[in-house]
Amino acid sequence: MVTPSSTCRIVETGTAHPGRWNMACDEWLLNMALQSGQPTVRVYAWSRPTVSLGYFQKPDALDSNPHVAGLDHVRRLSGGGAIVHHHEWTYSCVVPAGDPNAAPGTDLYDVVHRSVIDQLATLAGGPIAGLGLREIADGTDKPALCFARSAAEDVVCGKHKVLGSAQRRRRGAVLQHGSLLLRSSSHAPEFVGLEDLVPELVLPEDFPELMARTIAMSLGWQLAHKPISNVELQEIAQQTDLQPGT
Amino acid sequence: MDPATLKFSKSHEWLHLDGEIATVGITDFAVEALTDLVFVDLPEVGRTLDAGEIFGEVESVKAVSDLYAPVAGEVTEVNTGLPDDLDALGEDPFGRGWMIRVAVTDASAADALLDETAYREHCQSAGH
Repeated sequence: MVTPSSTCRIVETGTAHPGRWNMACDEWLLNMALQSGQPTVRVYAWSRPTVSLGYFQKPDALDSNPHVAGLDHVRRLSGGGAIVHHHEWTYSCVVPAGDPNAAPGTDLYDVVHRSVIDQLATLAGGPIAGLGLREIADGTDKPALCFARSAAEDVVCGKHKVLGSAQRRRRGAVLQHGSLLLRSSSHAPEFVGLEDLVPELVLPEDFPELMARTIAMSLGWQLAHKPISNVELQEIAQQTDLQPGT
Repeated sequence: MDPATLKFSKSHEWLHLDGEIATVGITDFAVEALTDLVFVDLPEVGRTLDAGEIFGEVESVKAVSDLYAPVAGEVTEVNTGLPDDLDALGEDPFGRGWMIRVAVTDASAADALLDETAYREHCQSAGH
């Protein structure tokens, strides 16, 4: 096993890409961590509304949902339910094998989610009423959509889930990604986002950068910005060709 | 099966060798760490595996984890009832929770795996 680095690379933060590229990039970052021990964080958007299915969900899981008809769809490496990625920021963090944050269990969810809650409170000038980790989870029901599910690791605002995450664990390393829902989407009108619920909260333009830094620092990492090189872009493009979806 | 008679990998699979046939599953420690298993995907009979190769996947608490073959060989039998009886993993991980049987390429390769004492020490020392 390679020695894990304590310096986190922040990559491709604040940019929007097609779904297959986003999933390919996250998988490539996971593979890079396995090869080099490099932790990474990225906070990104989607260039058009896209459905991502949890790894074990069947392709027809949302066929009966008219709101998502015709949307691009991808399959995540991680588990959990389907997400309609539209008005949100998505984060991914990759923890290399041997890093204490990669230990089995749910602590990684907890640390990252608390860091986002704290970051939002800082931006709001104080704690946001109702925003916190879910206190009572009902994990018995498994609707197709992630934001309709209830898990102890969720971040909620009042009774509404605004941040949910999932993981892929591979040879001791962890890819964790999650969606911070900002506003309701016509493709998932049953869910509301943080800006719907807290209209006085105005996220700054550099919020993705702040979120990435906050997540990295919460995991005890130092920060390093290193853009993806042309060679790396080619590797991600090759990975993209392997991604299932449209 | 008595864990004292088994061999273990550092990635938390157990192996019971009976002649040339190895029965493989995941340990009680792994099941406890994973918690709340919801899916398991196992290979087809006839698939050949290298030692350390991914032979399946499990999902728990929205985390998908890979399963690794502790030794090389060909899958001869799969616990096809396990995906619909995931409680077996928690209730009897070394028995009803078995996952695959493998005709091993080299039975002596199991000697390189951990015994129960060494495996328990590994779990503690790795900070798990």
